[in-house]
Amino acid sequence: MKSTHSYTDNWIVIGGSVAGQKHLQQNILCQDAHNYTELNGWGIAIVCDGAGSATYADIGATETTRIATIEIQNLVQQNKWIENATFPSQKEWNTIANQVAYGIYTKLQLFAIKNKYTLSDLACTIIVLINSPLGVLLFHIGDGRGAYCDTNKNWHTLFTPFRGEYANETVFITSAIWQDTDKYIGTNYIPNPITAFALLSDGVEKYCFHLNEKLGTIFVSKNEPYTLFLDPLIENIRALNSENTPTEMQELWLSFLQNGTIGLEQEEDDKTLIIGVSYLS
Amino acid sequence: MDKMNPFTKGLKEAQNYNEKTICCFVVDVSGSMYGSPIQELNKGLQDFYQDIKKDNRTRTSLEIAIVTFGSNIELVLAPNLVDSIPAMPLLHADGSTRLADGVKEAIKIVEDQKKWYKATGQSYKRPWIVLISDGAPDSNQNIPALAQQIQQDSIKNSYFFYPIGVDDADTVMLQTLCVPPVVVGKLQHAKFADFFHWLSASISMVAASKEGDKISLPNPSDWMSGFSI
Repeated sequence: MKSTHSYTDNWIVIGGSVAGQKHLQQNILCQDAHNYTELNGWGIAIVCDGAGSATYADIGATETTRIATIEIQNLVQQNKWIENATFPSQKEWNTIANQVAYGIYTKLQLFAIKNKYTLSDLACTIIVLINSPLGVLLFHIGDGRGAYCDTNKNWHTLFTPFRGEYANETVFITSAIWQDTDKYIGTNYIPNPITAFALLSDGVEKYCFHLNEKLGTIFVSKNEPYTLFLDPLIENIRALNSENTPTEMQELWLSFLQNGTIGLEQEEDDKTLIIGVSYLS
Repeated sequence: MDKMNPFTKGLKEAQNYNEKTICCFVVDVSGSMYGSPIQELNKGLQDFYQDIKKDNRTRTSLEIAIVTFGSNIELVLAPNLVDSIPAMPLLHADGSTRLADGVKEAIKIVEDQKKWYKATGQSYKRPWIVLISDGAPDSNQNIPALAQQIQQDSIKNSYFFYPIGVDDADTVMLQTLCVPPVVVGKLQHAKFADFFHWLSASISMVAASKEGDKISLPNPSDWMSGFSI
């Protein structure tokens, strides 16, 4: 159970990872991990969801998050994106995202060798979001969801999760995906400032995303941020941030993820949700 | 639920349909099941049905089908959500043991159901086929060909296949149908109730899991020997 809270002049970002009912009942640690790092007005949000099939899924998710945070910080700094107030083009970002993802994979490989883990025992999904005054850069491997709110207060989805034939089937950063990165690594590029974002593991998705709907006998798959969940939530974050200390905010956020709603309370899967809210909107 | 948590103020959860899972039972209703075994099996199926009805998530995601095999192959319960099944059918024992034909019918049913899920835009999890038999198959049943099909299907992750041998079942034959690491469960017919309670708990856990997850299912060792996942 971990939480993060970041507050700058412009943004409040709060995140948490808590175990779901299945792991609580079996006394297994939460296998999700997340991090948020503020970098001179830019932000880096990362969510990793350890594979239930992996023996050390919790370690894999935590280490992948740690490695990714460092790699993305280095990327932003080495390219002087902040100092120069520049942003890669969409084409450049696709190439960069694949290179960075592979760099994280190779660092995780080294970690596995050094600590005598089998790489597949560290399997996890990953979502990386870079938020800046210029817009948003994102890449992901596997499932989970992401959304952002534009300056007109409209929510949009950030990516489509990777799913196999079965609903509960996905790929991981440790999977054999590197020969076909177009298929397995999703990227997105929003060249405009945003006012809020949500990044989440799949344990939270059915509550804050509209995933399907039934039209007669046909089901239609959807991937729409659920505004009746997200809009009140960002307003509550804004209001509560001025009334509570960072520690109180983190405690309340973890409690919210544990049992803030009926669905969250009953959810079997581990739950991670990072919300970023701009003060300027 | 903590209604006092200030983050919850004014928000509503999205309403989404659960992913589907089909469990197709292939049940031996040959003459040797007559009497106490078929009565216990019927009771066990009722218990299974009641267990699933009590589970809010599984009742809206698990679809059950039942194929029986004796001298005839019958689909006695077409795939349907537990929530939509008014009662489990009563099975009657009579006839020979067309085991391979019964399992092939179950495979066809789960494959057809997957096609229907795809055609209607429903997401779904890997199907289960649970074979329950107490005897040896008829001599004209091609068990090696069936074993080969199950092996090939397992490579494609087409379904989970769990064979359960009851009383004096031919477990050597049943084992040829298994794909490691699953081994045949051996069960006394008087323990059907325990088996179905265990199965409902196991299906509920698997329904809440991801493909490939390692799951610690309830231990059936005190009433069923040999079975493992």
